[in-house]
Amino acid sequence: MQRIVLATTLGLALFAGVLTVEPAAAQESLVIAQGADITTLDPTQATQIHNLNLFYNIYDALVTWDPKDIGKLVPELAVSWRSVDPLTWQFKLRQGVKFHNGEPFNAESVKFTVDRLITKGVHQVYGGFSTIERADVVDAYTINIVTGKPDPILVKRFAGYGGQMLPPQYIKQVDWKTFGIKPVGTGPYKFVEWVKDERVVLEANATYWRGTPKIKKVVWRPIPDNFARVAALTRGEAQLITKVIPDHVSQVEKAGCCRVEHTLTNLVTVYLINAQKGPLANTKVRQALNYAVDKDKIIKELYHGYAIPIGSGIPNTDFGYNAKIKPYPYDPVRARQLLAEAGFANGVDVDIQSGNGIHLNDRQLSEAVALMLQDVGIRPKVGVLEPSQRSQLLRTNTFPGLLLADPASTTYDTDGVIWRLRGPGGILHQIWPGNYEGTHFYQLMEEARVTLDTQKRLRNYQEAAQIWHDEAPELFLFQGELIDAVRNEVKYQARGDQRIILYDISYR
Amino acid sequence: MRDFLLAKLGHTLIVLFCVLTLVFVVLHLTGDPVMMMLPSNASREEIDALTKSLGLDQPLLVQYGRFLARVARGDFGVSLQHQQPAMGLVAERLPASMLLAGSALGLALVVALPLGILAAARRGSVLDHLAVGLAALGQSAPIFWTGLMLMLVGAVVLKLLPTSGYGTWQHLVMPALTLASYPTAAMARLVRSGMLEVLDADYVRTARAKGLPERWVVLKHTLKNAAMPIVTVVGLQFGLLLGGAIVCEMIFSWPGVGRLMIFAIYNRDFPLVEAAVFVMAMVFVLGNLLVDLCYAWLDPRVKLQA
Repeated sequence: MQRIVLATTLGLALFAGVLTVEPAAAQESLVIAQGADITTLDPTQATQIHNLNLFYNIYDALVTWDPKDIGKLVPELAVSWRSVDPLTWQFKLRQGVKFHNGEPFNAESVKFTVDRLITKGVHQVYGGFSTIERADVVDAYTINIVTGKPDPILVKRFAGYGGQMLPPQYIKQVDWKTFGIKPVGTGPYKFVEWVKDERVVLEANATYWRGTPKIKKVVWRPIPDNFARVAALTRGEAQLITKVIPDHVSQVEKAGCCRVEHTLTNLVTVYLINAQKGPLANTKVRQALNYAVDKDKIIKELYHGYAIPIGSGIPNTDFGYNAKIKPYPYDPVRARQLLAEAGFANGVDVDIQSGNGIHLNDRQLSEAVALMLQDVGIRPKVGVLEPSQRSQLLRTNTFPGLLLADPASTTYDTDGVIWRLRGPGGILHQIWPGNYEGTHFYQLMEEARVTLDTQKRLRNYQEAAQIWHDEAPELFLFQGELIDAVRNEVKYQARGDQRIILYDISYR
Repeated sequence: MRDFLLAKLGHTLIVLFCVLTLVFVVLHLTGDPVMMMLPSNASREEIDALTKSLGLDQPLLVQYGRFLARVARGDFGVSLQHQQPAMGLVAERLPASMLLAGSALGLALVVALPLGILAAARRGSVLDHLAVGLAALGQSAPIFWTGLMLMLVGAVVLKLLPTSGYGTWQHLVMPALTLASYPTAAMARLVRSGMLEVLDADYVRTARAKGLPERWVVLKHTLKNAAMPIVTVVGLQFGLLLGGAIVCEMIFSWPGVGRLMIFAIYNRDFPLVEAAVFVMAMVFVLGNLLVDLCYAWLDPRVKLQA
């Protein structure tokens, strides 16, 4: 009898303990769940969005994007900027700003940051700033940034990754490694602690130059499993979650407590085509691929409508987008005809490579595309790649056939989404002869890269986009949406640049 | 005993050397960390510069030599993604992994032993059928399914436990149950079959003939003799649970070594994978050593010889 009483008491005590788990909602704090833990807090050492989201809140950049019109610059630590001569951009800096450790922000901080950015081989963001030669301090709050060739998108470069301003005195005191785990910035949130794979905690910077942020404490939790993230949100363990997959949207909506926030991003999903030789070197074959795939159906069935079809690799968010270019219509008859004209009436073998979980629904997408290609007489062979294998094939330009990719420009410019990859020195320069030196396409892109005349750049890019569409060096699919989800009491809007800016979030 | 331990130490070194060499070769031949570190639109110039600064432009043999020299000094290098010492990152996660693996194994033993013994002692009864059925279910249900179902029921529908995370005993319940499901089933079957084999032995018949109570016969004379294969499995399972809890750690966002390792493998973070594999190999080797020592205790006929 005693045993039964003991067991019952123990059971009840455990149960009571369990019941106390329900988290209390605090209007002053916010828990955000992302798909992965950060790897560093040094903004020059990572470029993945789950890392960047922390950078954008701990640090400020010289400029940032207008949240209502991503791609349009607004001031942050710079109050104004102008092109002094074709090789020099001058920035006037905000005065009275301090880093979290009390160190003043001034032209020396910018020079220190730029010197770091243009040092090759020691960090991960060099490529974004490789046009810069040096930074010259004019006075305490004025700095000149000098480029090797004219760089029309120099200012935009500072709005993307790597543009966060660093504290020179603090970094000299500690070292880069310590800085990566105990960061100091000028941003609206100060670093409190990072327990790896568990949480990163930030607190509001009471002396922030724009005013104290509304939410006092923010905890970032890594929850890798998609379902577990949604469960944490509906349970109230998190108030905001990122990367909701389209299959889970209805679950969020049905819960009643929460809503999804979604918006178009500048991520385009395409199959890169290795067109160096073989049947895929033939433009008609590449066009046939584009006619053979029913993009609307894919968007509806695999992505629940959270995407729009595209007619070239340039998203509508980027400078140089040409609205006159429409997506290739789904036309299997035309596809067959083009294959026949190219001399492949009996079909052609095409490899399709993608990851499994690298991009949203990638394996399913490849299987769907393969079925559609089969319908027009193409013999597809689908391969699944592990992330690093995929990267190696990209690097060596040796992938056979088609490879799924989602290029995007961090500067919201055609130069970033096309020419950084395809131009001379770009990682994909070799895979399509249409972008080699001597072609009209090459000339348009190279000219636009170094001219400060905005109208000329726009004309060049729009013409290049037409060539890109007609020559079809990619199988164009869609421009994707970002889907986040929040508790109803949270005021939050998803941004096209995928950033979570805590300063703009509050409770109703 | 001393000779035995010395010989084991020799074996351990050989095993660790082979494991590290294999990991080094496989990692270096199948992927490239530089591409995983840089943004997807990085230029060739950037890629080459980083490759050079990481020493990855050197011939593989040179890199291997440097790697062995470092490891011999106990230095596993700095994680490429985290920019922190690799072994430190693994060590930070080890307590969480130990806690989860230990709890799961403890749970498995607590459930599997009585279940297996009862099933064997009452062979053919309803209880036996039930135990065998449950064991088949536990062994065949994939861990991601078990985990998600538990989360759905325990956290979403009943709202009894937190969905994921680490820190309190409540956080441990679902991951431990999930992880324990397979070893519980496997061990229950093993206990049952081991017991059945021994229950027919001559010495058990003698024990019964001497008029010993059945409980005594089962627990003293049968269990100890049936324990050898169980001990072997427990030793191996601990290693498997420690490093193989990847799916479970991903679902419940448990900050263990498995999760660290899988991201490190994805990103070809060479130093981090090497450090993690080294630790895992050590756990297996130590587990085997403990099993060997247990054999001698369980069966006096076994002599620990080099």
